[in-house]
Parts: sequence; C-alpha cells; structure tokens
Amino acid sequence: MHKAGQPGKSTLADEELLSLYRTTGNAEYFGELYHRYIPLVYGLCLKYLQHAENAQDAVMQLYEDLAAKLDRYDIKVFRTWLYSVAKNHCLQMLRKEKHEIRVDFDVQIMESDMFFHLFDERRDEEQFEALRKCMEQLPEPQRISISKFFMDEMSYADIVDDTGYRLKSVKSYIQNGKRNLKICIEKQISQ
Amino acid sequence: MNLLHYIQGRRKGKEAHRIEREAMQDAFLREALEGFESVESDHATAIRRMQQQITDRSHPKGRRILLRLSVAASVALVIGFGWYFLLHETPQTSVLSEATPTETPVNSMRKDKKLAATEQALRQESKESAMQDRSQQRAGSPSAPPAAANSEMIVEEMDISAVELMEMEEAGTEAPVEPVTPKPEEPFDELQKPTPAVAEALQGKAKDVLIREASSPKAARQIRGKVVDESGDPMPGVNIAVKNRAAGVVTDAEGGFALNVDDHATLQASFIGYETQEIKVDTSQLLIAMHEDARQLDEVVVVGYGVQRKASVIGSAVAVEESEPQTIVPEPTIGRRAYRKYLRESLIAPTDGECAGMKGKVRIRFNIDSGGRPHNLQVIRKLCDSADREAMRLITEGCDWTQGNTEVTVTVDF
Repeated sequence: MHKAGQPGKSTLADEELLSLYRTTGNAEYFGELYHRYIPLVYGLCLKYLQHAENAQDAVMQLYEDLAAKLDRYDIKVFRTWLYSVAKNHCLQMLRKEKHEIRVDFDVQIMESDMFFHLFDERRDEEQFEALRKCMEQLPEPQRISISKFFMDEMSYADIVDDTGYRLKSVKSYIQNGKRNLKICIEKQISQ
Repeated sequence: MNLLHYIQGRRKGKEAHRIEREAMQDAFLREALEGFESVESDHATAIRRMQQQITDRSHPKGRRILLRLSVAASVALVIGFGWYFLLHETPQTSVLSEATPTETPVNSMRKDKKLAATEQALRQESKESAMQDRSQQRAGSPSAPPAAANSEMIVEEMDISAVELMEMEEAGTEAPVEPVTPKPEEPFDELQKPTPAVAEALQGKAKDVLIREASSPKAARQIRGKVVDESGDPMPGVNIAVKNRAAGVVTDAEGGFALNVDDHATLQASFIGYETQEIKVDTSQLLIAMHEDARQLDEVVVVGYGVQRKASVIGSAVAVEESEPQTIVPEPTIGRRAYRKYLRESLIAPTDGECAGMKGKVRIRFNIDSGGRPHNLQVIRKLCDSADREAMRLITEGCDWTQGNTEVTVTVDF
C-alpha cells in the first residue's frame, strides 16, 4: 500500500508517473503528477474564467475527472494533453454559464525554432548578417528591448528598470520587434 | 527559481528571463502567466492550498483503495453523506432516533459485519471530508450538498455501497477490511475520531439502511458465480438478471459476478448470440455455461445504431443473410447525436494567421482499435493545418466507440 511512498517519486518524468498510475492504479502517482501542473492549470483557468474561486474549483474538478478516466486516453505527452484538456474544461464551463467567450485574436503565433536560434551562440554567417541589418532597421524602443531580452537575457522587469519604459510597452516592443525581425530576415535570406 | 516565485512578483534576473522566454514558445505557460496577471488575488497561497488538497486526496489513508473499487457515484454520495452529517449533525440525529428497528435475529451477524464495514467507510470519509471541509471553509466556498431533500437518495445509495463493501470483505483477497486506527503522528489527530454525536448519527443511519434490506421477504443471500462459454473460457459482459425482478449485474473481465438474491430465485444469463440460460439458485457458487445460438444470430439485424432483434425492428431495416459479410459501422458510445453535440461544443476555433475565421469542413477517416479508441486517423478532406489538427484532437480525445468491422468517417465543421 505504501509502495508509492518511496523517495524519488518526485524525480520521475511525467510519463513515468502516468504509466505507474495506469499499471498500479495508485492515486498517489497521479496526485504527484497533477501537483506539478497545478500552477499552470490554475493560471490557465484564471485566464479564461477571470475568477479566482471558479478557477480553483475547475482545478480540483479536473483532478477528479482526469483521475477517473485517464486510462481511456492514449497520452503521448502529458503536458500538451493536459493543456488542451484543461483549456477545454474551462471553455466548457464558460459555455455552461452562457457567458460570451472572448476569443483572443492577439494570440502570439508560435515561433519556429529558427527565430530563437538566431540569438544562439553558434549561428551561420548569412543569418547573423541578416539579423544585424534587420536590427538596425527596427525602431529604437523595439531594438533596445529585443537586444536586452534576447542578448542580455534580461527579464521584462529588468528592462523596465533599465529603460524606464512601461511594462506593457516593453512586452509589445518585444512582440512587435520579433514580428518585424522575422519578416525582415526572411526577406533578406530569400534575396 | 520556480514559477511560484515569479507569480509572487520576483521578476528580475536571468531566471525570470528564462521563464518569460519559455513562455514565448510554450502556449501553456504563456496562457497561465496571462491568467495570473489578469486576476488580482493571492495566487501563490491558492496554489499551495490546492497542492495540499491534491496530496491529501491522493495519499492512501488506509482503505482508500477499497472505496475506489466501489461504484464512483456511490463514493461521491458517501462523501456527500459524510458532509451532510458534519454540517447537520444535531437535527439529523433526532430524526434517526425515530426509525423503528425490525431486524430479524437470523441476519444479525451478517448485518453486524456489514454495519462495521459501512461504518468504517463512513468514518474514513467523514474524516477526509472534515479535512476538505475545513479547507473549503477557509476558501470561503462551502460546497455542502443540499441536504434534507436528498436524504432518501443518499440512503438508497448507501445500501448499494454497503453491499459492495461486504462482498469485498467476504472475498477477502484484494481488499481486507481492517479497523482504521488513528495514527498519532498525523497532524489531523483531533479530526480522526468522529465526535460522539457524529458517530451516533452514522451508526443510526447505517442501521436504517440495513433494516430496509432485511425487511424484504425471504432475506437475501449472496451468491457468486462464473460464466464460461462452450470451451470453458470466461465470458465478460454477460447480463445476469434475477427473474421477475429488476436486479441484475454484468460479469467482470474474468466472467465472475456476485449478486444478492432471495432463496429459490431464478437467474437469467443472457448474451447476444448465445442462448439465454435460466438457473435455479440452490448453491452459493454457480458455474454457468453459455451455448452459442446459431438461430439467434441470423435474426440479428443491423439498424445503424446498436443491434436489435428482428422482431422489434419496424421500418426499412433489411435483414442481412449470414453468408454475406456484414458491415458493422462503429458508433460513438455516447450516441451519434451526443457525439455531434460534443464536436460542436468542444471545438476550439483556430486563431492563427492561416486559419483564423476560416469556415469549412475537415473530414477524417479512422479505425477503432480493440479498446474502442480511434486510431490510424487520416485527414481525407483538409481545411488548413491547425483546423485539421483540431479535428484530429477532437476525435482522439472524444468518447470511446463500439466495435465494428469497417472504418469510420467523421466530418468536423469549422
């Protein structure tokens, strides 16, 4: 009964915990796994439900729901699976309460890895040259924010301290700067 | 630094940067951070409290596993039952004392056992619900079930779970019932033992339940049995019904079943494609052998949803000769209508550049594996990448399907 009480349970990978839960049916394994994701799931639910208590109810409800029917699903990567299930659950709750669902059209497009590799140590000359040119073309606040974030590895709050920009502005400078850079670099490289 | 620190406002330095950069590539993290920023509250405390609750719930405290074996619904109601008493202690005790016991001496031993098992379960649940209750109240959202109106239903459910507990106890192999003794090292010590008033209320209630069962004519006894086919292999999923009564069970994966019946009752074992067997109950251990019924098989008509006997089909269904290969299209276990509703309501419209606002259909063809899950999904009509992926997701995460011998095509409207 206390098999799961071994130390080291917390070092197991998500999928290991998942398969242990499936084979033993011991709730402790799934409890441990879900425990890890509570901050993420709670934040996600807050985003959609906009209400702390409702979001907490959703987190607990999801735990019960998932623990009961987990074995009906073929889960490859628990994290992405949980993301879509939790999001669905919250949207479902909104529908039930007949709230209007605000669809966020400002969702950031998932960047390809290519963009992030631009700022890595080893990059090819052509891309580096393109990046340098494009950075020069960016409006000043975007260029400063981008370079502090990606090259100096500063957080948003650090950049706010450093530059005196407002937090919201820093985020949108980085967002817009990234978009501009991407377009510009693709143009440069295809030429 | 972990996410909690970041949420609490420590947002400087390389670690904070790392989280922010991760969020750019990870939609889950990004949306979570957006959520924390959009609602003002003490998020870190809420998270720690929920984590504690999950640990409490998933930590095996004694007989937890036994309870999981019983029907989930009755467990839920037992929890409700525990809460109900904790919150309505005094009035309920007085109502219970009015119950008139009519138990017969013959059954009292068994009932004592059952009573003990039930009480264990209740005590266990009441202990846990007391803990949950405490934290619930701290969170300012007491979620006590509507008490008075439900008491009848709760009693009915208790009846079932009492029986199940007893069966497991008698089987004695997988889940022995032991007394729950409070562990002194645990911090919830004062909550372990129900107050005398609660214990009294629980006891009274459990008695009430057992009296109802005992007062039925020719008191029940438990029989167990196994159903096998002609070659002696166990048959799961066979319906076992008590003739002329509504009671019945379905055999488990090993073909086994357990049922409480009156003396001299007759059992009916039925399974599609097999002759229905009638067995007089004269021992407490039964072995039922099922025989294939060739005649019954050619009367089976495919009607699109489920299988019905020919006699009960009206309209345009066409009998299929046994010699022709039958096409059995798998069906969603929740039914076609509910499935279409599921597709409509669970769909998350894509919002990326290529797909935002795109209208159209995605058609997906797939097979059903032996577990009833869709597999080999193929998009046979594309719309755009993320719409196609969303359609696949809906199907993979949707309900189970019945078995068939052909592939299924589902169209998802965007």
